Amino acid sequence: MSGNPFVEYLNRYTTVSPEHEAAFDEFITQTQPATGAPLRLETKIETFLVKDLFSKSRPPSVILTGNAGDGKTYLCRQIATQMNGSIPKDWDEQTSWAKETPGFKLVVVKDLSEIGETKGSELLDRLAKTYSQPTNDVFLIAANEGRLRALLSGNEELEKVREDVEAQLRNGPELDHQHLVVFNLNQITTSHFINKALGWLTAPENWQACQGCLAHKICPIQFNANKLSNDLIAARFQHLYQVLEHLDIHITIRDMLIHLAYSITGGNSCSKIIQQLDNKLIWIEKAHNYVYFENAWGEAADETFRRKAAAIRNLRKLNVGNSSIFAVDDFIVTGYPDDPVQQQTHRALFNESLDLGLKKFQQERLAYLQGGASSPKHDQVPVLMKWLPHCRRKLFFEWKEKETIERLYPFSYLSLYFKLLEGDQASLYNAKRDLVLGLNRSFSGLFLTNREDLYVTSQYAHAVEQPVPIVLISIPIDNIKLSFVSMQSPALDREMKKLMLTIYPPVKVDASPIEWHINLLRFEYLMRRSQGGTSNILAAECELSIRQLKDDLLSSFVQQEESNSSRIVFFAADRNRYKLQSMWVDENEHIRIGGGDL
Amino acid sequence: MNRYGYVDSNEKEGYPLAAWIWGHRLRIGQDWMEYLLEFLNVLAGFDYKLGQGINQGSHSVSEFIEYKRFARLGLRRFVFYHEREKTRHPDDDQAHTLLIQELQKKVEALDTNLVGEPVNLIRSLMQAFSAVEAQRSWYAKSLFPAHHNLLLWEALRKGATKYKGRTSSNKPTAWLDKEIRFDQRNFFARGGEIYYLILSAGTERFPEKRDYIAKRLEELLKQSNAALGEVALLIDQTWSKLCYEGKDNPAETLAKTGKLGWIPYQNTGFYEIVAEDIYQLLHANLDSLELLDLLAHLIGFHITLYIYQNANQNSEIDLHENYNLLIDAMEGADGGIIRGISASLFSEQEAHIVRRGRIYVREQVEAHVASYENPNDFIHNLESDMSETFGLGGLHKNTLQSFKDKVNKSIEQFNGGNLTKDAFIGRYVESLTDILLNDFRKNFLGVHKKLAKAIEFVAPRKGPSGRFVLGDTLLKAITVANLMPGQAQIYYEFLRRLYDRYGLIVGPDDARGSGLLERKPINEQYYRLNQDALLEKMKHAGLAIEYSDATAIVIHHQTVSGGEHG
Repeated sequence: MSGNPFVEYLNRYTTVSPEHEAAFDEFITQTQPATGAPLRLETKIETFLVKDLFSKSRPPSVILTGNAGDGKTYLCRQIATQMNGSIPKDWDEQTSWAKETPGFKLVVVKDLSEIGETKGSELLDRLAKTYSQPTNDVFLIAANEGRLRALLSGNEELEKVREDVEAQLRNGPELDHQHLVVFNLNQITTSHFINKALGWLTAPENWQACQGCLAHKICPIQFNANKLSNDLIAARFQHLYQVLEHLDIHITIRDMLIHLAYSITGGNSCSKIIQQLDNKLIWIEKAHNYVYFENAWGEAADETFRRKAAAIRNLRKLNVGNSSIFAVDDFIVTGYPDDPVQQQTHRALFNESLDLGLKKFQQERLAYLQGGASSPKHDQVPVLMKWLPHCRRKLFFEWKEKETIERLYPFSYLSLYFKLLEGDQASLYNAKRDLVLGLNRSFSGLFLTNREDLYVTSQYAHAVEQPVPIVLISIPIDNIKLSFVSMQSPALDREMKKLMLTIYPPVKVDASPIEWHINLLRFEYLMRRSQGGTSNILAAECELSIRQLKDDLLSSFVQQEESNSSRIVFFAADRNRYKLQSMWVDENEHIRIGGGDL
Repeated sequence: MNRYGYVDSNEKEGYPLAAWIWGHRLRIGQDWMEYLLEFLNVLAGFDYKLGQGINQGSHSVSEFIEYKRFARLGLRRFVFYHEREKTRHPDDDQAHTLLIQELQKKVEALDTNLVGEPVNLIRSLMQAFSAVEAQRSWYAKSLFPAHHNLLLWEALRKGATKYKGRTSSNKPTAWLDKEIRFDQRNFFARGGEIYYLILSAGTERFPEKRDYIAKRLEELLKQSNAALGEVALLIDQTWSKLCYEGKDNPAETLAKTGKLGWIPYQNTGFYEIVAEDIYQLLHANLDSLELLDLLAHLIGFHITLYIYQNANQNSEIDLHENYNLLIDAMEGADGGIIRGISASLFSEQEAHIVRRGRIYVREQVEAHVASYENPNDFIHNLESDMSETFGLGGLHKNTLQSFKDKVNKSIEQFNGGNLTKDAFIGRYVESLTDILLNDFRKNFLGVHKKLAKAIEFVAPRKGPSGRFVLGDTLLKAITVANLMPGQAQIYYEFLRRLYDRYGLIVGPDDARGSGLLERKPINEQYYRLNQDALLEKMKHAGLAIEYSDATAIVIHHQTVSGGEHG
């Protein structure tokens, strides 16, 4: 038996170091899988560049930045192939390639870092010249951002280019810019490509070779490939990636492919599995460690691989499956005996199967439930407990109860967060008030109860006694808007909405509103604080950015006259709550104490 | 040795060993926040001007030689003197009662639902600005200077801690403050003066910076929280009117006698870096309390570095090899590898401080001996010179006697021909070092640790061990002090700057460049992870942005209205 060549092909993804720059382009386009077609991910940017930009008579130049693995080189190659009609000759040997078209000359630079400092500078000089002089040159440059910045700094001729690069990296591409459009491929939401990639990885033609394999029944690889073609499981993979994106973690296309390929193979080869035919019984006890829902978190992977595979490294931080959620564990263990529908589901999910050690899990579950000779003694940890993290992870991908499995994420407010992004107005209204409360508590360090105004306070940070925050501005809730903003772009696959808090200045203050992006972490932090959570959880990730927001609010909304204001407004402890008070010296040199109106 | 500051022309008493190396003076008793408080008091006492009160080392002539100390006994007693006071005194009981009675006439609450006395509400507001975490007598406590009118100079009621009587004395009001003194320097031990001198020395060549720093600080202390300042002033004036009926306040007059100490005038490059940092920091568009907090952290950071720099400034020591401060950003995620190295570098610094002290004594003795015209009769001269330099006369009688006994024994042996001159000098240096290190260890050696831990430059906060870290506020202070508002810098360049300016090491480049990688060989990968960990922290803090390709930009975030940020 020789095994499936596609498995060998996949394992080449996973063994290649993610740091290897050329790997993505190389594997996708050059090394064809033995069966089936190579993966072809159609991207908006490719269509945009070919159909919209380079079809103009005088197109602007384009700079592509992004992480290694985002597909800069791949994209250059696709564009060159389309503009040329076929893959340009000697493409692999050249660092750049030029093509005369009617009207302009397209110069494609595969990697700015590879052409040397002097040539790189010359190239950017030529690009800068297109700003002022009529030339034929149009550039498509794939660049490492660090190298690009280094070449652009300290050269006055390049000042305009530098400013444009800076501005477009900060604010996104200016698609109708006359001279230069800068795309940061980091902005692409990789989750968008999960279905397409999984479809290709599990395509039947790639797995035909497995037919007739004697190891078929004990092979986790084939088991995984089969499972990953399931729509529900694919959707759960996509959701995982979306959660990372909402934590502002970007996974490159290449890291995604490495992750998905590893989820299938678990680093195993056909020959290794086939060898297990000789000691089948021992293998059955181990095979469930290599099923996709374990591989996806890199459970059986070694430390080096876990660290290098970015998707696994980041997913492990989510810690799914390691903590107990009663609703999930109860279902795993009892299968909800009172609910016939759920019982049915339980039977279907926990049937004899390779991922459950064939009958092993069911046997141990029944032993636990029914007692008898094999049931554990009082002081023993039941064997069944060892199955729980495994089964939680399985349910995470396979159980339809979305709300319940979302509780396996370490975020208490994840469901609400996504509900808000769907635009549920009532939830948005309530969440805004909770977020304001969370901000009030975070700003003041006091357990305030006000949700109707946002109080931006200033206080001595190292107070020995009870802190008394001084309120510098209060912003009524009607001046605050919680909304979601679509990040879609006609030129980039960026399928994402962001939650934004827009804070308008109080009356009489002449300033632009302040927008604050609330990502999943900040949302979780503020919601927890508003619900009475302590300040330490997620503080390292969120406290400083909240301080930054406070700095911004103070520096834009507090005007000099106001900080000179003749009253002190502060929170004073009053029985069981904090009450707003004000104090000032009047014209008769008396100290007056009043209510908290600013 | 060149000195910069105020040097008393008839100084006879000498100075402790540490003063000769680190200036007059830094002492363990001073709380970290009191460096800021004392510094601002001195600056405000010189009418918000730098470069004042200096009679040696400066290019310009000072307008003032003495700075004003802020007594504010009325305000201070109102805020800090209460039933739980640890050092009660009948004079203060009386003064406090009188003041409260008078204030009650002046306070009106419009809110009838107010819980408790209105006067107490004012007090609890003021107490929220208590700056020093310690069980101290009311007169030695301080307020965080949210406003100029909250500046207080350390005071002492003579004999109060030993006072046994508890009956009210019913003295005339004007006598109640008479026994209060302002020249103790237990807590305002001159650390703030040293910082004032560093900033003055660092701006000798840059008058515009000097003016900007002073003016901006004045603005911060006078324009922000003006209402709070008014309330504080009213309380204090209520007392002085009651007490002196508009006449000169004797305590205030007495208080007006502050004269600066001095610093060694070398390594001016570092003084200029300090001045640049503060100049840049003060440009930040931040709330005044936040900015003063950042300033307090930066002062602690600068003083710690100043101690390390001077400890390593010696011909026998290669600065670069010794001055490596590895920041541990991993928080144990690497199994404590970086932490271990950072901790060993931290304890190295302490060893360097002691070593510098030892070398200094030896150098002084040798230099003096070499300078005497009559090499045979050097012992007498040496003894009196050293006694004068290090102020041995002020030592405890027994300590001094045991030192003298040891020296006399060596003299006998030398005179009897049993010791060579070199061996005698060696023994003398040893005995002198021993006696000087007593005070050195007790009053100076711990200063760097106390400061560095308070500002989270060294963790953990408690306990004897330590490693270099960058706590949130310190990290923010350093970033703001190195970039102008709106300015950006590539992360790697920022790290290089931290190395060049402060000797901080985070990533593999500086670990290699500094020789640390060679000295403490570990896999370079750990430094890379450390570098990434710090970046992650800065990203969370909004101090850095990463667009692509692991090319991060450190930013001093300027308020951008309407745009996407955060």
